[in-house]
This record gives sequence, structure tokens and C-alpha cells, in this order.
Amino acid sequence: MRGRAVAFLLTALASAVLLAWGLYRAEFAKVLLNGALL
Amino acid sequence: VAFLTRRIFQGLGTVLPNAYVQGFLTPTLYQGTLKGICTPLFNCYACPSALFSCPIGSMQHFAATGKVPFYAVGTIAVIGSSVGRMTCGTLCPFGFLQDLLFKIRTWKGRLPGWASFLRYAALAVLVFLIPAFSGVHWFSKLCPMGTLSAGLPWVTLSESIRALVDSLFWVKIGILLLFLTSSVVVKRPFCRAACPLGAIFSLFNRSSFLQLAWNPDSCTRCGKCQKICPVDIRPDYKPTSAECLRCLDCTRCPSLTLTTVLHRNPFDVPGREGGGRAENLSEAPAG
Repeated sequence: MRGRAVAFLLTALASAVLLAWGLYRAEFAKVLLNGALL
Repeated sequence: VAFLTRRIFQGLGTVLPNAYVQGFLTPTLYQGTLKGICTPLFNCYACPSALFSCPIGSMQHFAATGKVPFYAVGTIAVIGSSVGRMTCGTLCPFGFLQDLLFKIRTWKGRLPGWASFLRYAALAVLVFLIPAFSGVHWFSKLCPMGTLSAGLPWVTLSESIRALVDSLFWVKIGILLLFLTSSVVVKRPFCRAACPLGAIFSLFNRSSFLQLAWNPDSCTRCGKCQKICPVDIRPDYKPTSAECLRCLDCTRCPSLTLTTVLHRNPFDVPGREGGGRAENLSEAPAG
């Protein structure tokens, strides 16, 4: 279970970094534009 | 009670992301700020009543334009690392529809085990590779949820879109009918064999914060958990299975419960701090 807890922490950290980097690159606006123009 | 709660959540997962009723009345596509948010559900953003964006459609769009979809992947990864595939089991509208169709009383079959690999192929080939090389959104062109919640409504509501109907539209209808009819005899065929969003969430089942725990001391191996499981698995053989939707239907059995990665002895069994022995059992039955 300790290994799984470490795996969770690593994946959660990597996921948060991905999301933060995407937000920093203003991808929210790109998704909004794509979704609105379909 | 848990089963009813899941049905209520599935109803909310169907209604709330599609609450822009005006889209059907006018008909128009919602273009507000919420459309920038990717839902953790398989819900088409081209549906006239859709408030949010489809994460798969967004990833595919980024692939088709030669960009890496950090935001869409990050959103899904944050949810996946928190709850695994739970949104598939408790919120997804297309999963809800398949669950309801399986209630129809008729002959029932099982999906072969190898079919689950097809969803990873759908993710890699239709969502990333083909759009990246061709610039064409091929997954969206074939997506049965897109046909059901966007293609059919728009063709019905708009004369100009009706004029664009070609042979591809009938292929889409055929794919939709294939999954709808097969849902009557097989549990959730689309989720298990074709859903790219489920494929991404599957990768997090082993390491997500929420986990399913199994108690080998109280389990009688009666197999009832498989009968009520919406994807036909034996959670007692592998509670961390990538197929598990974390719907929690099986937790009606006292030998299975929801826990977290931080909880080392969820059943409070004396002397067992490392969890169940589930993963040491490799002879899980097919299904």
C-alpha cells in the first residue's frame, strides 16, 4: 500500500503540473474557441 | 441505497452538462465561458444543449492542429488520479444509457477479454495519430455519442445541416446502432471496447486516491459481485482492475468497500496492515 500511496502522489503531482502548464499556456481559451465554433 | 444514489448521479451527469435548453429551442450552440471547461464525461460539446467541452474532442483538436493538449490531459489526469474511473460509473451519460439498455430482458452474452484493448487503440489511433497526421477529427466523425447528442439533433433542427447529410452520416448512424443494440446483450460494450476517455481513466485505477478494497477473510467467492458489476468483472480477484468503473455496486457485499491509498487496513483485520491478497490471485475468470 505504501508503493501505491507513492504512485498516487507522483501521478497527482504530474497531473497538477500538466493542468497548470495547460492553463498557463491559455489552452482554456483555445478549448473555449474550439467548443464554441463547432 | 448505493445503487439508487448511483442512478441519481447518472441522471445528474446527463442533465446538468446539457442544461442549455435554449440550444434546442433557438437552435444555437452555447458559446459561454463554461465551454472552456472539459467535463470528465463522454458528453459531446456539439450537442445543442451542451455547456461544457468534451475532453476527447479537445485532445483530438489539439492533435489535429499539431499541439500537445496539456490542459485537457491535465484535467482528466487530475480527476483520474483522484477517483480513477469513477466518473465512468457514476456520471457518464453514455454509460448510463448503456446501463439502461442492458436492463431489457433478453439473451445476454459476454464481451471477450481482448476487446478491452481496443479502447487503447481507439485512443492512440483515432484521437491522436490520425488527427495529427491528417488534420481531420476522425474520432468525432465516428463517435456514437456525437451522433446521438449532436448529429441527430442538428440534422433534425437545422435545414442547412440536413442538406449536408452524406454517406458518412449513415456510417455514423450504423456505429451508433451497433453500440446501442449490443448494449442490450452485453454490459457496456462502448465503455469497455471503444471509449478513449475510459482508456485514459483506466490508467489511473491502480494509483488513484480512492481505491476498492477486498476482504479475503469474509469473501465466500459466491460471484454475486460479478453478476451486479456493470462491466462483468470479479472485483474480488482484482479490485484495482483497469476495467473497474468504481460504480461501487459491488460494495453492497460486506467483503468489498471503498477506501483510499492512505488507508492500510480498510476492514480493520487484526495483523493485516498491507491490504488484501487480491493481486496475488492471477486466475480470475474470464468476463
